Amino acid sequence: MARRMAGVLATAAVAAAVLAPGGLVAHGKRILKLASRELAAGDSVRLSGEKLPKRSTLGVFLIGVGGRTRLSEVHTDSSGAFAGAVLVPHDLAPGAYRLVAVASDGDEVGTLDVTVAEHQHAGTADGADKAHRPEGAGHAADHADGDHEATKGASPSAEALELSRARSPWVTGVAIGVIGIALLLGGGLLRGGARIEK
Amino acid sequence: MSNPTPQQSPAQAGGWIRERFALHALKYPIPARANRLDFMLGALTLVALTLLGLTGIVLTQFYNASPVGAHQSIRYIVTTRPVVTLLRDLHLWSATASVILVFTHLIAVFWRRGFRRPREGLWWSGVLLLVLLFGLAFTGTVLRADQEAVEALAHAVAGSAVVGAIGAPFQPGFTPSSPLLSRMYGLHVGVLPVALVLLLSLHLWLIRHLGVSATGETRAAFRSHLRPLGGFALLLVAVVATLGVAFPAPLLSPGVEGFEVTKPYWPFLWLYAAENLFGITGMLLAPAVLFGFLAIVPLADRENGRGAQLTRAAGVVLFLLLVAATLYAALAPAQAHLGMKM
Repeated sequence: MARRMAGVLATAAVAAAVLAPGGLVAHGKRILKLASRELAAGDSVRLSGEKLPKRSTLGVFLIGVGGRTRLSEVHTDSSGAFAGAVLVPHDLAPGAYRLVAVASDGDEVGTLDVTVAEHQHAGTADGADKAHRPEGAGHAADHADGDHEATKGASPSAEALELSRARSPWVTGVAIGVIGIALLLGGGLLRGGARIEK
Repeated sequence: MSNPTPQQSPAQAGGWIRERFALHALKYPIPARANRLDFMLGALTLVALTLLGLTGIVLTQFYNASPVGAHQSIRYIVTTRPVVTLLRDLHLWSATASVILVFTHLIAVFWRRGFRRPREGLWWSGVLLLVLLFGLAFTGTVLRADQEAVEALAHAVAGSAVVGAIGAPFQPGFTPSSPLLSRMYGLHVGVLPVALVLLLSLHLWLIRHLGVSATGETRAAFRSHLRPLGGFALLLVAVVATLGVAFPAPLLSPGVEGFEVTKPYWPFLWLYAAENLFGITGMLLAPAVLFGFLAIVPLADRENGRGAQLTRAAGVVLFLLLVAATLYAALAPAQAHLGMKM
């Protein structure tokens, strides 16, 4: 009986952690926390992270059906943590979004599902920003002070990402084999074709 | 002939297959001259398109056509799936090969005046196929959802706004139920390939019944044409695969709207040049001029007609302009358009 109770309590604890109103999502060891998963256009909300890539610059985006909107840029410290506030653009369409933190190489290091409600009134942004901005908020908060500022951040790049490509000696070997066979067969057919011409 | 049995020789089995699949129909006569490479460019384009289709079918199983997941799904392919990422590389290089081959085919047919009576329909169906190929190349670029894709999409949205109702489906607000990227995916894997297959069928039907425009009295069986064609096709596969292995398809960082820092996929560089010089009007007028000219070629250049030399000269000038614009766009510094930031 006691063992069953312990099981129920453990399940409930896990469920409570997962369904908690504030977001907390761990990707492996990486953690991204948001003060609330229900955002309002024009609102500012506290965002923090832990165990992320150390001393790195992360772009923070909201991705929805209309595309990708850059909110801010944050810098992690030597322990891979950051804390700040991000401003949701006041003209962002209401709906379901994914908030993502993206490293400079394009890797998504953290993601949270959020919903964005309609913009309430013009004064919300500033008021909410002041209300939510934590003490010692970093770079993100510094940039989250207006719609135009919300799209600032690291410049988009024309350079290809330097991704660690999936490689397999088997795949490369088969590809080289196919190339060799195609060259041999193709050359053979062309020699045969020339004989037909005569 | 009875069904093949284990006792039948290969020759007998071959006869059984020939009969069942009507392979005797491949014996029809063609000009012997058609066994030259410059008469096989269209068929080689078809080989490249087939490679595109086959690799594309695999890619659809791994690609997420939503703005939320598109870029990440390609990233997943590149970083975790060795076979699929190689197929993606082949997809890009097959597209490049098909663009080069189709343009070479176009130039060869234009130069030998293969559009003259009774082959006007053949020419026009080819021009429409070229338009579709550009459409496929454009929508394929957009699907990457990287910076180049976002910029390309922004240009499509701006261009479609200018042309009014025809461009409405390219507007993000056309329907709130489906994002523009997903609709582009629908075009890329559904609408455009179906239209391509239908037009290709017409094109091949016309070639079969009107014949190629090769001159000369010497005839050869079409079956003899398949041997050198197979040889060139295999060499094409080898070249595309080598390029795919040596120069993998790039992926830029996730696209950010409102910025223009890249240049388009090289077949669109001439449009980029036109936009650099004349703004969005130039970007829209340049393809109208090119495809408009191609459309009137069979009407302007007729046998015993006075417009033949003029049409050929105009074609040469247009081609040189296209090359010059492409080189200029490739070498000129990147430039932002449509009020975007750099």
